[in-house]
Amino acid sequence: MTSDSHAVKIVIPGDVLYPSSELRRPGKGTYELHGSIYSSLAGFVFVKEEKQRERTIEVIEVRRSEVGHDHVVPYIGGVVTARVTSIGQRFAKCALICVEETPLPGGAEFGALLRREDIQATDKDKIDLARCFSPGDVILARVISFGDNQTSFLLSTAEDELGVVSAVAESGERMLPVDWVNMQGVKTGVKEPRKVARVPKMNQLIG
Amino acid sequence: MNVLSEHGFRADGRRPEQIRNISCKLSVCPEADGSAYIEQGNTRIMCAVYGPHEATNRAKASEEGCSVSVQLSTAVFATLERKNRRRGDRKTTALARMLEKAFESVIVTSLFPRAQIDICCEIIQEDGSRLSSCINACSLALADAGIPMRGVVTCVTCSSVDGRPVVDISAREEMDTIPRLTLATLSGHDEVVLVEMENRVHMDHLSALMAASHAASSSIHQCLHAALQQHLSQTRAIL
Repeated sequence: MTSDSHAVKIVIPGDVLYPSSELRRPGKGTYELHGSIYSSLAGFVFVKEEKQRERTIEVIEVRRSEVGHDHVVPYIGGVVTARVTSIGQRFAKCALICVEETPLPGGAEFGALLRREDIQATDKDKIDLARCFSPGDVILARVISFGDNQTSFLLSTAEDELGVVSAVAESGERMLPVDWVNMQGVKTGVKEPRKVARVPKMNQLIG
Repeated sequence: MNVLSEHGFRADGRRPEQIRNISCKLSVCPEADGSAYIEQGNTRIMCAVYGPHEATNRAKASEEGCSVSVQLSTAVFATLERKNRRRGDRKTTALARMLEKAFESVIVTSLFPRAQIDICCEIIQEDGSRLSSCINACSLALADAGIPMRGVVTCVTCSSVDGRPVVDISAREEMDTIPRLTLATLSGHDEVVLVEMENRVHMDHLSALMAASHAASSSIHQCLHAALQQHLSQTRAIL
């Protein structure tokens, strides 16, 4: 349970905000050192109140503007939105466009790899990558690893909610999901196979 | 040529412990994530920060944190004589590496694993203390970009003339072979981020020189602090 109280104080990195105590926690844009909470951003101080087992804890945050956080990088376990850029025999190359709810700024796209064995949880060796994705598709996936020096982030779609959300047909038209393995073109009604994401609300909309 | 005149003033009329005038502008470059323009006396520097974005150098990318890459360039018309400089000569590269090391220790890099932050610094006019002015400009640009840092770094180059510390030296004073100490501190306090010594100084004069540099660095911090606060209150007025 959180509620915002608006503070007007302007701070810059390195400014001491509050002495740290058991009832205070450093939040975004702050850090704790030698018994004090410091700002790590230039911005405005916000004090949020958080209920924790009958105690009210103050969370100190520094934000640059009213709307939350702006710099994001993909992290392990996070759900990302990605665009498939190319398809190979053993993996698909993707470009990340969104981390959780935050879009990455234009030009700051991260590359990622989706290996064939990470597409589905079952029947891993029978998967034909071309029947799951095609270049241009927008997918939801989970970051499972940073990869080694040669490869970038590794993605996985081995969950029901993860997979293709919007596809591009061979003819170039947009396709929407119809069932677990098929997508249908919005105009022509031509079906193509995909690893479809079962996004709960989207299924209600389609029926 | 004497750095200090017989009445104890310097060639530009400053006292030995007086820093040059500072004026700065933030968010000058709309394409960058953050940018700053700083004038310290006649030294003028423009700095732009891009990122954090995917590391272009895969070998440098680490899972513990992001890397900082600095590009430093000097305009053709920056010094007294017009000079076409090659990119990546030894001196500039050394300065760029020092900037990288200084800021890697200050930016909270652990927040951005496998990412990279690019800093581009252009010396538009050079009138001494260029490393310190570059660091000050980068600090402002990073703060403007909203990159989490442990504090604002401020830097000053000082010298010692006959045992008397002379702070924030200009190009004319740099021409003499006098000791030059460049000191960068965090948030105007005692934590040292970078220290660099050129030429030799007598050991007896060193502690006075260090103390004067600390004092000058914290007065520069006050200037940058005021500039950042003013910029933020202006952006708040727009919101």
